[in-house]
Amino acid sequence: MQGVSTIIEWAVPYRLIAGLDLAGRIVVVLIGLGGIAWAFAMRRDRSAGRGAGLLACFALLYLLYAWATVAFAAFSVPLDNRILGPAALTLIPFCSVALSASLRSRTSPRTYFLWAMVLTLAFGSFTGLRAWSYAARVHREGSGLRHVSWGKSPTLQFVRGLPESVRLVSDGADVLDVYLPERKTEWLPYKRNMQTVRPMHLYETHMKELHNDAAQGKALVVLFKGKHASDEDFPHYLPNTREILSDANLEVLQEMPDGLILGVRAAWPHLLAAPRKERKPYEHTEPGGDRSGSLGTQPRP
Amino acid sequence: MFLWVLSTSRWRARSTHSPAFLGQNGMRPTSVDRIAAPVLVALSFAICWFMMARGIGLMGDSAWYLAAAQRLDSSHLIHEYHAPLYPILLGWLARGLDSLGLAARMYNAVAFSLTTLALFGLLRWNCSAGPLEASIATAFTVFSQPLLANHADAASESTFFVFLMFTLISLSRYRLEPRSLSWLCLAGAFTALACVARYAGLAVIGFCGLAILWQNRRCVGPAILHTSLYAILSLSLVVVVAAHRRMAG
Repeated sequence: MQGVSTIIEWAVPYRLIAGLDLAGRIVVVLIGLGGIAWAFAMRRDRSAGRGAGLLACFALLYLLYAWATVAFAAFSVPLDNRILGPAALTLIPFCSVALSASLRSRTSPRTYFLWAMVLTLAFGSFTGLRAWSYAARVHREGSGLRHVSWGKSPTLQFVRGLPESVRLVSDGADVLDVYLPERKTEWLPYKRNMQTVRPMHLYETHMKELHNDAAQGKALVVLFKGKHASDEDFPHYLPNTREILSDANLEVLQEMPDGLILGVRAAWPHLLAAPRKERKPYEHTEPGGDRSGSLGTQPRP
Repeated sequence: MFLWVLSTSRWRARSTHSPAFLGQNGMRPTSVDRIAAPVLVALSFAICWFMMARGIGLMGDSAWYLAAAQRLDSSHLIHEYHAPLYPILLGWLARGLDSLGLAARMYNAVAFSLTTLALFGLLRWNCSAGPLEASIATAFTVFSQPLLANHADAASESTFFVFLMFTLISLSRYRLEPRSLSWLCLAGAFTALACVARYAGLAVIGFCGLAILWQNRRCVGPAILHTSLYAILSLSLVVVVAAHRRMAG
């Protein structure tokens, strides 16, 4: 149902969306798209906007494909602007052309001009302001893992100081790949298959190996709040903080403003002595969190 | 090749027979078209470039794309599940510009501009939209948060959008000229490229296949022949990549 929220955000201001529950959002999307399609189908001048139906048909088929892919195969993929981008690229121009063609074929030129002006100003100012605000924010702060907050991350600074022989296991292996490309990093052991949602047979074995390596000082678990702010934010296939602590029998060695370091305390006594004052203050903004909630880690259809 | 087909005499001849209701909004570019298209393209490029002032954005898959583009090693490209076209094109551009970061920014800005131009052309000459209508609809679409978000990062979406738009243009022209195999072949070729840009291109194959069948619904022979030709062309690159991966183990 995230797809409905994504689609409604293309045309409705956030403040109006905030007051709607899921059913309300579905109703608004259906009435909006259905109304435009009906007006387009009922236009008097059949040649006005001829061919635009192709865009609507493509958008509908693509939405169906994306929904089916996520529903039956890739459960963890969010239906965000990345996945639904092709639908936005065809649905928004269809709606614009269909509305214009319907108005033009049903009203006098003067009324059509007035309506066109009002709709263009209303929709243009709303989407234009939102787009400009987004572009300015990305210009100022960067996008995704390039967000300025990652550059200031105390957790990343801490990890930089660890010996290179240490195996880093993380819920943000992509972050470590980008900022510490020379280090060998791994994703947390999968507890479930990403596609089938079935439990992974080797999960417990991997967790035991992780514990053994951590006990010998060969491995550490690095968790980023910028990737998963709380246990509820972890995807279904990854163990959350509580599960890692229990299944791999680890302890929290360091708690940063933006992350956690987990390991076996006996193997890392010096970590606890690390003075926290050496680290720079961290302005917590969720890196990438403002970008459609995309974690950017899952394979897409 | 695409530009060559666009400029064929048939296209020009058709432009003189545009529907009467279009009046000044016929197939010939008007003064509004001549101003709107370059302005939209320039604005797209400028906004995309401005947005990436801190460098190309990075998401989960970006690290792989950039590494693959830097190495341009076919075995590396083939062994992963990612679609290979974006890193290949980016790698070529990076070699030309001698900087991967600059190439990635340039690539996204150019792809965004091409998408804008293609969408304007699609609306203007294939959806019977007037020059002002097409300009406004294009501006609403490309200067919207979903489209900008898809062009802020090093990802394959930008490439996919370009080939998706070219496919829809070719398909629209084919619908107007059902006997023209050149538009059908172009649609197949662009779909094939879209599929190796993102595997979601498979949805484009399904859609175009249905559209071609619907177009020829009264003649079974051409319907099967044209759909088969399109399917073979559009699946060709994906099959080559899949076969290569299978052979490579």
